[in-house]
Amino acid sequence: MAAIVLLTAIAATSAWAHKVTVFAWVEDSTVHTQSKFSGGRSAKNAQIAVYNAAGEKLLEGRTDTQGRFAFTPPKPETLRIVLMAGSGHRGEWTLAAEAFAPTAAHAGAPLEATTSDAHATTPPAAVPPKDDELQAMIEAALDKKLAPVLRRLEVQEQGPALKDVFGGIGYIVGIVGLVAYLRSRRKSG
Amino acid sequence: MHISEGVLSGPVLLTGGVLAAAGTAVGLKQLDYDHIARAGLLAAAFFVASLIHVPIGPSSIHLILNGIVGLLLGWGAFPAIVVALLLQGILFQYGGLTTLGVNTLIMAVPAVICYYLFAPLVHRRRKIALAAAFGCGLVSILLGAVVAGAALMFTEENFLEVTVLIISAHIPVMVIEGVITSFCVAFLIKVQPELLPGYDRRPDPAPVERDSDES
Repeated sequence: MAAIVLLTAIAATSAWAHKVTVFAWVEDSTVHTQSKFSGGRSAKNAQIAVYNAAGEKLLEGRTDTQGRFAFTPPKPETLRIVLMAGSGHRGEWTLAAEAFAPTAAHAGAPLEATTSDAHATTPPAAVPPKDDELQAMIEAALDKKLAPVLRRLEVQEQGPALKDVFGGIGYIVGIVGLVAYLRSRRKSG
Repeated sequence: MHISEGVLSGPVLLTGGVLAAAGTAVGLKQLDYDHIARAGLLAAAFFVASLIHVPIGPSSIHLILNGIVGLLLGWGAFPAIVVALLLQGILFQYGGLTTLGVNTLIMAVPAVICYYLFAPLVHRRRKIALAAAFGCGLVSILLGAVVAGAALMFTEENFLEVTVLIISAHIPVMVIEGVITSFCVAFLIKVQPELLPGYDRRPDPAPVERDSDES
């Protein structure tokens, strides 16, 4: 009995590392998430909760064996995706509302709608953009799209660097020196 | 055994912080001038040990070494561990600043308990000393899981479930740390027994002879 409890416990907890990260991206108005522990192991069967900007819980679910979880939010808005991997492990990812923009908000139809009932208010929208304007628009869109990927790359590089290790040891040596100095002053003074 | 930010509730974090501060104050008071360098050395070992991942078993875990820190420092383990955890939090993003107190308790309380449990045994016969060292490494992790379970009890399901979960994930580390602690103690008995706790008031000085056949 105890062995069964132990085994299921081992199966359920995917890791007791010290850091979990969750990353989310949008594809065709479906939000995909990927959860990982530091060291690259995926967070299996971990709980995911999705909140909107106002802090209301929209939905929740569990990751599969690859640490993935996909969902379709009720409407495109800024989402906060919180991963609870158990035993004190928590990760968070904020998905900006702009991530939905190209597929949901500005895709074809709304643009036509604005041009058809264009009153005097929006004359420039009807004019086709010039080449340099177009380029700027493409660049802006690329920046928007690539931002999460770049952030992800930053996060993935998070394994402690050698300079952090030696920096930490240096700090400890410094603190030892400081404490020893204070003690020696108290001793002599 | 690092609990992330945003998992525990405010009162738990506050209690952990206050208790850890009290333990650190006691530790600093007991840490005399001659032991400061030793505390720094062990803090550095503890700091780096968390980078050594143990790929055994289904989970990704790392060494903690709070057993040997406690055995050699007693209450001095508190300041050593709080400094190492602070640096792990800042430099490696393990744990966090708000959870520093709780995480310190998780690792330093077992260290101090192990000091009282096993320090009187390390100057006994060799077999007893090594067994005590192994037990020190093992029990320190076991108790750490219990303290972590107690901290998580207020936010996650129930105490027993969480504790069993953490212990089961840490079985390989318990064995490895037991072996490491035994090696350390065996080495110190041979080379510098005065570093081990209670050298002056050891119950039976005879068994601690250095190896007569060397040099």
